[in-house]
Amino acid sequence: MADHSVFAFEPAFLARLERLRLLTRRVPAGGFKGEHRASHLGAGLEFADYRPYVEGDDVRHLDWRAYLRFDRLLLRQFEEHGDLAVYILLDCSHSMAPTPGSGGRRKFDAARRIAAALAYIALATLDRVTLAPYSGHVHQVLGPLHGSRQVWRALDYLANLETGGETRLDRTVREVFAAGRRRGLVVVISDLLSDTTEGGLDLLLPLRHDVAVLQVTDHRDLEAPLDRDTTLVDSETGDSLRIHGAPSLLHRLEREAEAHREEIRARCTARGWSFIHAPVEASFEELALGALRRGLLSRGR
Amino acid sequence: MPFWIPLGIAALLVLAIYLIRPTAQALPVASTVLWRRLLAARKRRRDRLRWLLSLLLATAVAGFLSVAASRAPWLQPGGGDPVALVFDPSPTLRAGLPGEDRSRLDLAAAEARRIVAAADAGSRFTLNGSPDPLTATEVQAILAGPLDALAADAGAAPAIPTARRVHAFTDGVGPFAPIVDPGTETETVSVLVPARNAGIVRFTTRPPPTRAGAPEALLEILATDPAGGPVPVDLRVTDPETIRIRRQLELEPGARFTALIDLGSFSPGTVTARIDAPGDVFPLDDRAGLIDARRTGAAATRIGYFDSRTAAEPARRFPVGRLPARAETIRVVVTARSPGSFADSPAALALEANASADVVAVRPAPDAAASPPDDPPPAADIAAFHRTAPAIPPAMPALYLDPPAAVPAGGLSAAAEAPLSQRRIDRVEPGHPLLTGVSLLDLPVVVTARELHPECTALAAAGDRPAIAICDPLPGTAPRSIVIAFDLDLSPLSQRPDLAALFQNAAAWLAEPPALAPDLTADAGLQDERATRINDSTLEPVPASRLADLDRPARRPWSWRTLALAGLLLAAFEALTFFRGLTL
Repeated sequence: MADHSVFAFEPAFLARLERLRLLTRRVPAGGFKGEHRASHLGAGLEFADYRPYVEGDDVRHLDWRAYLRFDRLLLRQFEEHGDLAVYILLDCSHSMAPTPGSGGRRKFDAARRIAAALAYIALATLDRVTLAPYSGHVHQVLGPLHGSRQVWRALDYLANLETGGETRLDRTVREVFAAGRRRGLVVVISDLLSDTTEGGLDLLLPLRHDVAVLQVTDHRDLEAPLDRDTTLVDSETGDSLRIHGAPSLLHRLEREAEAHREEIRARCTARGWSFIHAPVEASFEELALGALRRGLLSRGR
Repeated sequence: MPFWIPLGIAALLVLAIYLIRPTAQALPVASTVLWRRLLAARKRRRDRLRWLLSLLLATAVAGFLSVAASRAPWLQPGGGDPVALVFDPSPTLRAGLPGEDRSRLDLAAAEARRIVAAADAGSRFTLNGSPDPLTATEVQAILAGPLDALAADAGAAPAIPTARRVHAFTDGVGPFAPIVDPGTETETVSVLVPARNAGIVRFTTRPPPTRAGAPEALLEILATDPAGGPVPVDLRVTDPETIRIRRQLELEPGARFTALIDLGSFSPGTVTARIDAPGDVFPLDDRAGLIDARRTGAAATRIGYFDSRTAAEPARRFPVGRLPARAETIRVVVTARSPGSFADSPAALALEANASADVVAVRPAPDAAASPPDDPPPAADIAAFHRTAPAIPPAMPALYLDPPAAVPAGGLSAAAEAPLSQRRIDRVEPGHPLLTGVSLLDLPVVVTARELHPECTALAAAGDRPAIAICDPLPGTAPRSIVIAFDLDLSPLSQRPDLAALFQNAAAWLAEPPALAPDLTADAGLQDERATRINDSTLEPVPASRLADLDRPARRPWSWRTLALAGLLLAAFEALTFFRGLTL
């Protein structure tokens, strides 16, 4: 039995989540009916616009009243709504839980809670959710899930995930989208502490997905006793790095982390993607209703 | 210490410091990505700094090596005028240090070495006013070797070439004033170490007023002791045969012991006075000699200091000051076969024309069968014999003028019976002082054949017949003599000024005091008492601590080897850091 305590959301909070939906541009054609505007006009109920009639158009959509008034054949167009393909790439590498115990898993737990919340919102709005946990490669992909009844399945899946291995976002993107999946929203939840982050994000660019990058950070990663010579051991690769620095080096490390974050944020912004910083020190409600709403979620109903 | 030892130690030290690092603590972290990015950023900055430092180091290395290789004097602070080192030539610098096997001269040399070592790199030096500057290495080599070369002529004031600085090393005993350019920085280095000494300050003869022919010797001994205690002295006066006087004295510092010694019973020859005093540091004045005072009279009253260490090469190891030329007139007693014929002879005219000689008496020659002639009066310096010769040679220098064929004494043995014949002088020894200014070659002379004594030399000869002969026996054995073996009346020499010069030279050579005995080599001719009072200085004594410092080898600041070593070390360190790299 999976431990769902990490996803112990308050009912009121869940109710607030249900009023949100994932923010995205128009969904591509080819999906099922949903609550997101499609990127094309079609056979919906909401009138959108006129266009000149061309041969082959369905004459049932001709507006005869406009023809009488303007002596031109105009075709009525309607908004089409569809569902959104949501791909949640959850980083399960060792760096997400570098040390045993609950204290060492703060980043991973926070990432799972965010993934669970997003899945909940997506499934509540009839979107199709695909969960793709990854580290060195993609673990077993769950989905696409559709319908709110799949929420528990998604939570069970997330609750059973374990960390391990080295982060390889580039390889993950290749594996997940190798089969040519439908365009949608790709949410990358990771601490981004990998040299493959930039390469993986670059691979998403030609796929024309909407991308949201959530960086989960833990301030403990920037703390180390540096009073003498220290050999830093990478939890993922096992590589060692010898340093002899003063404690002031930690301040520069913080600035370097900030610079790294801003670098990725700038890269995402330039591509029209969302970037959200999710420190584990902040409460999840604050994160979901604050940062997420500013970059990834919108009030739907 | 060899050059490679500090080089190896320094290289090993640098290598060890660089390679041996403390063990680091292991710290697992989530990821080292940020750390690597941070270090990469730092490394970029450090690389730029290292590049700049490397450039500076490479420039410094090149500069060091260039200066070291070229040893360019214009780059070194010691360029310009040399530093002059002047050593007091006073013999008191040979005084040993109390309780040590070193002398004040050694002390001066050690201090000079320290000055040379502490001088700026590239400095040049002169020693005792030497005209050509020397390098520090050359000066150190000279100062580390025998120090006798440092002694200049006693009493001479060396003229120092233009110098940046003058260091004068003296014990302050006696006058010492090197001639330097006005305004030149001069430092007088005192090497005075007070010491105990006893020495003979006077040893001379004087004819007593009452006993002609039995002169007395005046002996004075002076003692000094900085401690103020009495100085025991063992005095011995010897003649060539035995010890004549031996006394144990005890002199108070500054006290003068005076003794009159009757030389009447002494054997002919050198009379030597010698003293031994415990703790004596100045052996040069411990022995003095007289040259046969009884026979040579007042002309031979001079003192000689004996130094056993310098007996081998006296002139080189201890410069001898020459006595001034004799000022009084040379007294000549003439013995002639016929005083009347002598008065009209060219020889009489030549002696009369000689301002330095005075014929005090002309006596007729005694009968050959008579007893040997008495010694000449004490007032006479030379005995001249005109056409005669005594049976026993006189105890004073003698001049034989055209002696008879048989001259048993005076350098010519019995003549072979050969007729007189006129010949021309065809061989002379022009370098002898007797023939200075005298031209005898091709001079026609009437001369007979004689056999020359082995100890005599023919200065002029006509074929196998000696015309002028001299005898210069060893000091203390016999006086000098000159034989002019041809008849001056029949020689054109009497019509030439060369004759006066010949007689003047003959009188001077005969009256010249005989040389000292071989064991009396050094004629100080200087401030006798001042030399003996070796503590009579105007300078402060050298403190004892200074003596210890001088024993330590001084370091050479920034020699070309030091520069080369620094360059090599920097180059090695740079190469290590460049190829090894620094992790942080």
